[in-house]
Amino acid sequence: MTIWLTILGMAVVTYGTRLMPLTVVDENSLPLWARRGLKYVPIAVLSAIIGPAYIPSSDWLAYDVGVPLAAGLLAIFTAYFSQSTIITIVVGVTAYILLSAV
Amino acid sequence: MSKLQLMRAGYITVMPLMVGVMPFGVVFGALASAAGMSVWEALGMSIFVIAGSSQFVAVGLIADSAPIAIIVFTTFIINLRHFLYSASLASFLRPVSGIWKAVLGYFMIDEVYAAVIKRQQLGEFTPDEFKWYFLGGGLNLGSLWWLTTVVGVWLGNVIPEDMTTVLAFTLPLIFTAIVVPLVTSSPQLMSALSAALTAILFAPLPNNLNLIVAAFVGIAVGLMMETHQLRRSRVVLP
Repeated sequence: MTIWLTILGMAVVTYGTRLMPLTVVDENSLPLWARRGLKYVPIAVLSAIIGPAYIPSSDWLAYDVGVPLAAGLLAIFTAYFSQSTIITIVVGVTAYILLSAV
Repeated sequence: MSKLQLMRAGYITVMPLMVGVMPFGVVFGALASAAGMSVWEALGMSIFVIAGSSQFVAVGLIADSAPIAIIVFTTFIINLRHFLYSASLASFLRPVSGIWKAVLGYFMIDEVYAAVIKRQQLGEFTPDEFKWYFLGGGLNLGSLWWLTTVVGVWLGNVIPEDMTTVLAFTLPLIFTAIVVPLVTSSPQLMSALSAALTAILFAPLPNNLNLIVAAFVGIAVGLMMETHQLRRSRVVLP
């Protein structure tokens, strides 16, 4: 029972967070800077998720960056030049596996 | 394109992400089971909450018998970034009906948003087309998340840990493949770099708070650079 109450609470706050801006936010009432700022959401949030995946804090706290960063940089170049998701994954994963094996 | 074709396009768009979502679902199911949750409870969490990282943290807290209020508050903080996703689409999706907003809000998760946002940003869809495209992507990854949760509860973690690490690494790779083509101006580049750097430096913060701090830094840097460029161009071109 406690677990279902927990799930209910989690569901309410999560769904509320996702739904509220869609239903409540009136674009025209937002100041111009906020409207311009929202355009940066995809780039800013996804970059924020990517960064620590390539340089995890466990690495830099130990002054040791390595395999994920090398594979990640390679993926960034590959994505830039190929503009292809599949090629980027293949190159990144291959680099990750090969470098981990070294 | 017809509604069905749009849904199929969305379904196909998120397919590379299936590789990364799958092991997460299995590991989540296995952890939920180890924390004493039944298959219904684990599946219920995956259906009603449908938010990977917060579910992992919640299961850890449940195993520690943490108070409900703590678990719910932690979940709220971890999932705050979805607020930004939703806000970034609010004006575009304004013409869409309330029921559609309720459905799309449900699927406003990292992987789906990341995959579908590119073609929206490139202006390829009307809101009415985009909602079907979004739904196709959401149904794919949503149903995969539910299914793999059950597999994890029943079979335990059947994926070797080494392989989980590799498969999980496909998610940042795909996000990279999505973000890199979106970056076409120097304010956008500075926004991306500053957000990534902030998230790296603040990673030791609890509850993914680094992502929230980094998102706001990235947005602010992008805005400031853009304003600076506008001012400069006005001086050059009177």
